[in-house]
Amino acid sequence: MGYVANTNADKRAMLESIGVNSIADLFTDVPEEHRFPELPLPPPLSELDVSREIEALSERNMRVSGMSFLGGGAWNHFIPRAVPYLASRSEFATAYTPYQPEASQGTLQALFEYQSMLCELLGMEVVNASHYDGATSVAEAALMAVNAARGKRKKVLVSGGLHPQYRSVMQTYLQAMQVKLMALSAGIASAEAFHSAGGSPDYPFGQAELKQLAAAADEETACVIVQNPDFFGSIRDLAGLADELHAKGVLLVVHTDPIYLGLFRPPGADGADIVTGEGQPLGIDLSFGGPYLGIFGCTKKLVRRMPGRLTGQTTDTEGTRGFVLTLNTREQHIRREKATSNICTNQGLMALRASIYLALMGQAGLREVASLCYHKSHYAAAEIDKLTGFAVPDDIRFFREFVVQVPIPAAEIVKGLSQQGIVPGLDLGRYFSGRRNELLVAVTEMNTKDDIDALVSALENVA
Amino acid sequence: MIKPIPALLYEQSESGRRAAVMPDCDVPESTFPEELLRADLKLPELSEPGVVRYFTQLSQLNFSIDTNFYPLGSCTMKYNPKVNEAMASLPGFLGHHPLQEEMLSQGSLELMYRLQEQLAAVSGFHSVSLQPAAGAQGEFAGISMIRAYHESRGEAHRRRVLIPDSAHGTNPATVTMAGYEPVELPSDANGNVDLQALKEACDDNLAALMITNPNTLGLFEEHIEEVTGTIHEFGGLVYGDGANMNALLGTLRPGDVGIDVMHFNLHKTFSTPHGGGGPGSGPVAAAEILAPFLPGPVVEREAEGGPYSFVTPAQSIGSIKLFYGNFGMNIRAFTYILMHGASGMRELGENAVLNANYLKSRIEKLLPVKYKRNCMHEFVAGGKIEGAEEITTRDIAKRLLDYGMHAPTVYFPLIVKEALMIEPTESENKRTLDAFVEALETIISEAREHPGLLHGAPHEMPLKRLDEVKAVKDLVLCMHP
Repeated sequence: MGYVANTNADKRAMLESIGVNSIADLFTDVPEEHRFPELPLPPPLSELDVSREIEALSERNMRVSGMSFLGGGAWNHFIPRAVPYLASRSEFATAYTPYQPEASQGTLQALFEYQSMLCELLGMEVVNASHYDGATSVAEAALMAVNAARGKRKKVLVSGGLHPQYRSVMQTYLQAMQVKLMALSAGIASAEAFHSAGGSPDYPFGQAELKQLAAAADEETACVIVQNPDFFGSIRDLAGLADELHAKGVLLVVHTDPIYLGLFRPPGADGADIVTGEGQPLGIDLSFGGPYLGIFGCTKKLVRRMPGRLTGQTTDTEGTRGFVLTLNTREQHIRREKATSNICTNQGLMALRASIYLALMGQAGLREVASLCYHKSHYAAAEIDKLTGFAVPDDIRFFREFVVQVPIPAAEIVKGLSQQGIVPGLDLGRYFSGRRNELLVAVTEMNTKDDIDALVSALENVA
Repeated sequence: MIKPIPALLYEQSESGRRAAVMPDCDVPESTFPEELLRADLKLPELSEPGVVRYFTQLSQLNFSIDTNFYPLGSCTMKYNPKVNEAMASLPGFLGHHPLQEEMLSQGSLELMYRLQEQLAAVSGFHSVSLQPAAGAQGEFAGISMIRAYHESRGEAHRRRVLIPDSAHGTNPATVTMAGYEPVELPSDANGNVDLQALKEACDDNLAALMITNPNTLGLFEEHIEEVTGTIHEFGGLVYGDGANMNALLGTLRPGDVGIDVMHFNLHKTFSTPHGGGGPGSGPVAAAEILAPFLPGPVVEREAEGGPYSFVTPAQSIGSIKLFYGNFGMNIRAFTYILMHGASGMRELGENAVLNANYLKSRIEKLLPVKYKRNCMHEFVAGGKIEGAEEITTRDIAKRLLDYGMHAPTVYFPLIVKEALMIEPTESENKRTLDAFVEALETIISEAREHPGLLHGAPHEMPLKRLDEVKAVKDLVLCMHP
C-alpha cells in the first residue's frame, strides 16, 4: 500500500534499534488469542478500482440541479468556485486545531475573520469558532442557558416553529439534565406530546405565539427559544420580546438563518442573548446532510459560559498582532468535568468556507442573494396559490420557504414529480403525522423563473 | 524569507469593490416588510483576486501534514489520500439533499450501510451508527446509551463512571454532560489502570468505565480483560474511547476484549482531513446488548438485494445531530477502508506501532521516557534536559517549529511532568523520523549552550512567541468594521 512509507531495509534497521526481531514482537501486550484477528474485509483494491466502484455508487443517487425546491434545514445555494478552490488547499485542510499558534496563523486569522463577519451579520458581540451544525448549536444554547442560571431554572420554552429534528437533538442533549423541554402550541406540555399530537397544529404561529411564550416564561424558565425564519419559512417581528423576558430573568435564544440576515434585522438588534444558526448556506455543499456549520453567538456578558473554541487577538514578543485560541479555561482539556461542554474538534474547515464565502459576497452580494430568495419565493407562492386546490395561507410573511396546502397527499406529489426530474419540496407528513397534505417549498437564487413556472405547471397537472 | 502576514479583510476593504455578482432578478419583485429590514450591513468589500490572494497567503502561514512532519500525539496526523477528496466531491454525492426520498438516495444509503459494516468488522462490534459529528459527540452518544440501558433495566441509581487519570479531558466532560458522576482512577507504575484501585472503586452504583486503549501514554492496557471483567462483574459497562484506534487496526478488535461501546475518530484512524479543527466524524459502535440504544437514524436493508432505508433503533437515545452525520467524512473513510482491505488494515496498525517504537528507541536516549515498555502508536517523553533545567517543554516545542516540524502534543497527559506526546503515524518514513531526532539533538545542545535561543523561540516563523495571557486579559474576539 502506497501510504506506508518504510522500505523493508528501513524496517530491519528500525527493529534493530528497538531491539526486537519482528514487528509482531511489539504486540506482546495484546492478549494472544485476540492478537492479529482475521478481519472480515475484502482484499485491498487499487485507486482505479475504488474510484470506479464509488463513482458507480454516486450515480445511484438521483441528480437534480435547478429543479429542486427542497429545504427543511439545508438549502441549495450558489457556491462561488473560489470557495472550494481555496478551502481545499492542503495547508488549511491537513492542519489540525491550532495548538501551536505560531505555526497556525493561517487557520487562526481565518477563524478571527469568521468571528468578525458573523458578529456583524448576527449583531452580536461574540461568535465562536463553530459548532457541529444548527441543531447541536441550539441544543448547546439550551444547556448554556440552564447552566448560566446555576441550576435554579430548569425549564426551556420552545416555539412551535423550531425544526422538528432540532427539537429531537435538544431532547437527546437535555435528557440527562432533568431539564423540562416545553412546547407551547395548543397547550401541549412536552416535546413528546407535541410530536404524538401530529405537531404544530397552531401553525402559522404568528405574533400571538411570541406573546404566549413571554407570558408562560416564569421563575423556573432558563430561556425561550425562537427560530426566525422558522422551520416553515415564516418570519416574525421579535422587537420587545427580549425586554419582556429579561424582566423575568429569562434569556432569549434566537435561531436564525445567515442568508435572511443579508436583508433583515439581526437578532442582536432585538436583544437576543444567544444566537444560533445553520451555516450551510454560506458556501457549504448539501453533501447529504454534512459536514455543515453550527453558528453560535452570545453577549459579552455570557462569554465565559459559552461552549466551543474562540480565537482571540494578541501580540507576539515584538508587539506584532497575531491570533491564538483563548479563554481555554472554559474547555474540557483544561476544566475536564467542569467544562462548559465536551466539544473539542468542531467544524473549522466549514467556518473557513463561510469566511471565504462572505468575503467574496461582501455586503452587496449577500443582499442580492437574500433579495433573490425573497422575490423568487414570493413569485412561486403567488403562482402556486392561483392553482385550483392549492393554497398558500395569506397574511404570512416568509423568507425563501413557505407552506402549500395541496389537494392530495404531498408524498404522492413528491413521488410523481420526482419521476419528471422535479423535486417539488418537502412532504410535511414526514415530520408531522397531522400534516400529510402540506408541502414545504423552498426557492433560492438557484431556481430560475423557468424552473418555477415548470414546477407550477407540473403541480397543476397532478391535481 | 519570513512570510508576510496580510492585513485583515476589513482593513483591506474599500467601498464599492465587488467580487461575486448575482444574476438580475427574473421575476416580478415583491415588497419587503420595511419594519423588519436591517439598518445596515458592513461586510468587507474586496475583488475576487484580492480574496484569493488573501486566503492563499493565509494558508501559507500554516504548518500542515502535506508540508511538515506533524507528530501531534493522540491526533493521528496521518497522510490524507487525495482520492478521498475526489470521491467526496463526486457531483452525485456533493449536491445531494439530505431530505431527498430514500429511493432516490440509494447510492448514499448503500455507502453508509457498507461503512457501518466495515467499521463493525474492523472493531468486532455488532452495530454502528454514523451520526455523531466528532469524537466527543460519539462519547456523549455512548455514555447516553449506557444510561438508557441501565434505566431500561430499572437501575437508574447507577451513576458513577470510572475514568483513568490518563484520559482525554473530553471523557470527564462527557460524563458530566450525560448527568453522571466522574470518578478518577489512578494509573499503576507500569502505566496500566491500577487494578486494586479499580476494584475498590466498584460498587452497586457503578454505571461504567471509560477506557482509552492504548491509553494516552501510548501503552496497551496489559490487563484489559481483567479490567473489563471486573466492571461487568459489578454490573457496569465499558466505554472504549477510540481516539487511539490506529494502533489496533488489524492487530486487535476492541469488541473481542469486553468493550461494550466505542467511538471512532474517522479524522484520525481513517484518514479524513483534520481541517484545522474539524469537521471530524465520530461513529459509535455497540455490542449486541447496546445496539438497540444507538443514536439514529441508521441504515438498514430488509433483504439481500433489496433497497436500503433509514431506521431508528428500537430504544434509540434519539438524534444527536441534524440528519445522518458528517456524510462527506464517511465517503472519505469508506474509500480508505476499501483501498486497504483486511491486509492493508494490519499493515497500517503495524507500521504505526513500528514508527512509534523506533522513535522512542532513539528519543529515550535524549529525554526521559518514564515507562520502559514497548509502546503502541505513540509515547510520552518529558521535556527535561539535563544541564539545562530552566528549559521547559514549551521552549522545546517552539524551537522545533524553527526546524520546520510541528511540535508534539505538549503538557498532556497531565500525569507526566512537562509531557511531550509523540505520535509519528505510519505515513512517515525512517528518514523523516531521523531528521526529527537530529532536530531534537540540536535543540538539546542549544539548550545547554545558548538557552536564550530556546526561551526566545520561535525565530523563523512569521511571528515570534505569542502572548496567550494578554489574549485573555484584553479580550478581543472580533474586529468591528
